[in-house]
Amino acid sequence: MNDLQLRLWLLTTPEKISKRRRAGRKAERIAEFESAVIVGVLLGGALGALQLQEAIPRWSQVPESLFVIAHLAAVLLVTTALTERVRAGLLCGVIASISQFLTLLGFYAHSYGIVVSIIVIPLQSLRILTYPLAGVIGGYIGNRIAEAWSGRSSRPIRRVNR
Amino acid sequence: MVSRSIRIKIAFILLAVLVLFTPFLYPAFSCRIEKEQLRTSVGSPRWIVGSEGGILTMKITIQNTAGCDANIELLQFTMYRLINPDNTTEDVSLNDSQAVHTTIPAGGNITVNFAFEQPFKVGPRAVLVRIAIILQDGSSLEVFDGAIDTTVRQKP
Repeated sequence: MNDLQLRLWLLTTPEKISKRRRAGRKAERIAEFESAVIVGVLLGGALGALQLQEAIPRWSQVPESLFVIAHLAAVLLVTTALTERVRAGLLCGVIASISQFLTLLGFYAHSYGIVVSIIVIPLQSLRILTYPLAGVIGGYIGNRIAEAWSGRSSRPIRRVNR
Repeated sequence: MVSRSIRIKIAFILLAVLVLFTPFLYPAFSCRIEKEQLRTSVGSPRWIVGSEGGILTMKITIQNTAGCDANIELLQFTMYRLINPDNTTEDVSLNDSQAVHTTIPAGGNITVNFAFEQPFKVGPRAVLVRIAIILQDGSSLEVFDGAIDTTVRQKP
């Protein structure tokens, strides 16, 4: 390797490595967003199915606030466990909200008709509006936990021009 | 071997499942009303005679001695024996119910006017009845099983 080649190698290789890293991070981010969507769909479906159980007279004496708190805590814990980014947590929360809404809509539309479901669902599904916030908090906690384990920082290193 | 991070993630998900099912355990730990805590008495039984026969009306008073509110949905009334004025008895199986939809606060009471709408040609001297209360959670409590003397006159 002559001097010119060495200079070229020194100039291009870090750039290639940085590109590969960026591509790797992007793929990692996309994978995490995909898993956040899948988790959100499953979580929302499960929460919707559980919410339908609340209508059974046996549970009528349970305060509704207890169900709301339990649902919020579940979204928070699941996003903490399965996401490592605030945006992924937010996406998971939003998808969970939509999935739960559609689960309830599907059930009520099938059982009582679309008109009744459109009237009833907005009253029954106010709690889903809080899932994105729970997802954001869960994503943030998941991020902090991941940082603590790996010792890495998710914050980009800023270059300072001197 | 499962890594530490996976174990902690599994722990978070198990905790989430546990939290989700916690409200469903609430009835097991909350106040339960026993049938002895709903003291029921029947007063002012009266025959109201119409063109198709007489119907039995009465006032049912329920006192809630439990430590929590009682959400009452329905009163179920089963008449299983008639005692006629000539002291002959007749076994019957007559059922009637009345929606109440009310809450009796802890220590409070309510009085419900009840009319047994199945008409009798000849009013019996007394009837043997069972009264059950259906609570909002679907549980049924038999709160009264005894005779109601229908010849008792109301004091003016």
